[in-house]
Formats: sequence, structure tokens, C-alpha cells
Amino acid sequence: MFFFTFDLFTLLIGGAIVLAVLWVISTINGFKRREIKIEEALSGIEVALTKRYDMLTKLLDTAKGFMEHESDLFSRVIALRHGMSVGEMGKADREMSELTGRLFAVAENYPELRSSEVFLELQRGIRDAEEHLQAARRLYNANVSSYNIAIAMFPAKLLAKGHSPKEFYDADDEKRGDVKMQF
Amino acid sequence: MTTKYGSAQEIDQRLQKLGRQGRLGGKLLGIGLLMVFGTAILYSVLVMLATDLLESFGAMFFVPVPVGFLMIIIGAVITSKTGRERSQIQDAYIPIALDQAMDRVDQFWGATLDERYFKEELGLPMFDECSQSSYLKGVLRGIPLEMSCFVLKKETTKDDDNQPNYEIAFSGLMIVCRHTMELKEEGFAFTQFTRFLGGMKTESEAFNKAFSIYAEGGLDVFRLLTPQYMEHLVSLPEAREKELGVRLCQDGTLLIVLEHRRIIVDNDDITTGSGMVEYMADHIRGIADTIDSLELPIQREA
Repeated sequence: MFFFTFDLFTLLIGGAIVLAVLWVISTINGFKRREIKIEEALSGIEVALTKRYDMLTKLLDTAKGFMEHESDLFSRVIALRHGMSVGEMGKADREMSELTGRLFAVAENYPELRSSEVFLELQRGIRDAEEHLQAARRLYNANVSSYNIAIAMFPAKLLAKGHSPKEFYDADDEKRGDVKMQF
Repeated sequence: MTTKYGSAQEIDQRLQKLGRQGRLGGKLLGIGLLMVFGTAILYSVLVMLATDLLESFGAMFFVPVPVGFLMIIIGAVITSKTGRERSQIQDAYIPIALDQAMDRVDQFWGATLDERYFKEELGLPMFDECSQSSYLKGVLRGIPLEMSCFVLKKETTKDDDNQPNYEIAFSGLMIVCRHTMELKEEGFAFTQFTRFLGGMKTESEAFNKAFSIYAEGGLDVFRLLTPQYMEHLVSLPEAREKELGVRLCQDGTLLIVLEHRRIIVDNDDITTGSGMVEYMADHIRGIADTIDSLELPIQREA
């Protein structure tokens, strides 16, 4: 009887240990999986920003021929390189948004430019790139939110030492500022 | 409108007669049921309360029961016969209704949707048998599409002859058309028929509660599901009733599933052929209204 009870007790303890180990493995893998998704999403933002950057460069080149006097538009330098941090990407994003807004506003004064096929095509391309970027931002933030919640929830947070919350991507549209129309 | 059942006037008269017969059959059925069950209940009460009354009047209870059963049988036969004949008349009017509601009808009946559509990640339950009816292919409000009513069945037990018994797991309408999104990843789905384990979450709690998203990546999901669009989807009547599933496939196929919806419907209160046609046509236009209300990026005819 004693041995039967001992075996049952051992079985229960063993089972609990196995379950605990499985839970630990699953939780740690879950953190890793979420981190990889965040990296993928960040890479997606980089791709979207690059696409937008390329479109904007082409648009500026097209506009240069028509707007020779608007030198301050063409003298802006926006840095975009591979492997930027979230904050740096956000800054580049805001600068590009501001430049795009100013370019479209100034282009209002040049009807020939506004009606050219190339300009219209590039304008559509920029809109498409911005939609892509918007989706990439939201995907990144959704993944960050999932990760931050996972490492904060009990009991998973007991295993989350060495995992700190990730930064959200903040395009911060309010800081674009008003575009002044010049007549 | 003349069909094989005669002129419009003859059919209207026939439908009115069928309507009267149907109502009579229904009444007989109802009264029969009332007699049988009412007698049984009364008998049971008397057995419990008053045995002396039962001794005096017990024999009387054996009259309403057989009469009730007879009325049930006659009522069921009449209802079934009128329903069958009405259905046959309706079948003759279906092509007319389809011509009215659709831009073009390429095929009705005689085919089925590819069964692999029902195995796509749409949250539909696992099934052992899929039966389809009312297959329709054509153009509806500018949208080239195919659709079919379907029932998914699961095998439950086997009877004594080793024949499988089935229970219905799901029934509804599947619409197959093309979407215009260029998907950068594998397709995705948002559905109300299941909760995907590890499904994607959006910023909208209301949307996450109403729908479950299945996606390998996520970028395409966020391209379609903007905050305004999610708010719109959640407000749809189909979403409130949890009857909606949508899948965008990478090859351009768009699958829309509407639970409990049918293509061809009838209303027993309609007693004219033209009324029957209008009712069916209106219902099909209702399906078009539902597709339009989803505001999906659907390919339309030029």
C-alpha cells in the first residue's frame, strides 16, 4: 500500500515537472517567435520607407525640371540607410511626409507639372507607398503590443528577465505641421 | 409569363388553390397535434388527481387520440403534396427570376463549386461530406461570380447496416469571385465561424471580438483592414449575427461565405407567379446588396 502510494505520488510529481518544463520551453519559444515577428515587421517598414523614398526621389527629379526656383525643396537631405533604429525610421518617415506635403502644395502652382503623366503616375505611386507604409507600421505595432503583453503577464513574466518592452513605431502625424500654401 | 404549367393566370389560380390547400393541411396538422397531446396531458393529470372521474369518462379519451392521429397524417400528406407542387412551379420560374436579378446567367444547376474551396482556411468545420445545391454562375451587378448553397456534414455513427449517419455541421452560401488586391504574402481570412489559435489581433477590440483573422504574414491584412473599414465591417447586419467569413487567396480568388443564406427562397403567402418571381429576384438582389456592403476590392466587369 505504501509503495502504491509512493508510486502514485512520484507519478504526479514527475508529471507536474514535465508539464512545467514544457510550459517553460513553450513560453521562451513564444517570446522568441514574437521577437522574430517584430524584426520581420521592422524590416517591412524599412522596405516600405525605401519604396516611398525612391518614389519621392523620382518625383523630385521630375519636378526639378518645372520648379527650378524652388531650391529649398530640393536641398533637403533625408537620411535613409539599412538597419536604422525605430526612432531613426520614425524621424525619416516624418521628414519624408513633410517634404511630400510641401512638394504637392507647391506643385499646385505649376499646372503643367500637375497634369503631366509622369507626375500623376508618381503621385499614385507615393500614395500606394504610403498605404503600404501605414500597413507596415500597424503590423509592427501589433507585434510589439503582443510581445510587450506577453512579457508582462504573470506567470510568463517570471521567465522574461532579459526581455524588455520594445518601442512602438510612432509616425506622429501631428508633428507634420501645417503646409503653408504660397500664392 | 407562360410556363409548362400553363398561362400566368392558370398558374396564379393554381397557386391560390395550393395556398388554400396548404393552409388547410397546416390546420389539420395543428389540430391533430393538439388533440393527441392535449388528450395525453389531460389524461395524465386525471390519472394523478381524480381516479373516480377517470373511471366515468376514461373511455372518452380513446376517441380524440385516433382522430387526432388521422388528422395529423392527412394534414402532413396535404402539406407535403402542396409543397411539392409549389416547388415544381417555382422551379419553372427560377430562370425568369435569375434573368431579372442577374446581369448574365452562364449556368444554373448542373455543376458544383470546387470542393477545395471548403477546405480553405475560412474557419469552416471539418466535414465528411459536402453537398451543394443551386449552383449559379454568371454576372451579378457587374461582378463575375459563381455561388452555391452548401451543407457540411459530419459522420456521427454507423447504423446496423454499417451505413454512416450524418449530422449537419454548417450550412450556408459560398460566393466565389476575384479580388483586385496584389497580395505580397500568402492569402488571409477573417471569419466569424471559428477562433483561430494564435490569430492576429488588430487595434480594434470590437473587430477582434467579432472576427478572427488567419494570416501567415500580416502586412496584407493591415492593408485591407484599415480602422475605418473595420468599423464598417463590425456594423454590418451579417457581422452582428456572426454569419460572415471572407478569404482572399494569393491567386486572386475571393471567397465569401454567408451562413444560413440561400440563393432560391419561397414565401408560402405569395399566390401569384409574378409575385414569386419578384420575391426570388429581390432575394438575389439582396445577396448583391450584401456583397456591395462588404466593400471588398472585388473585380468587376469593365
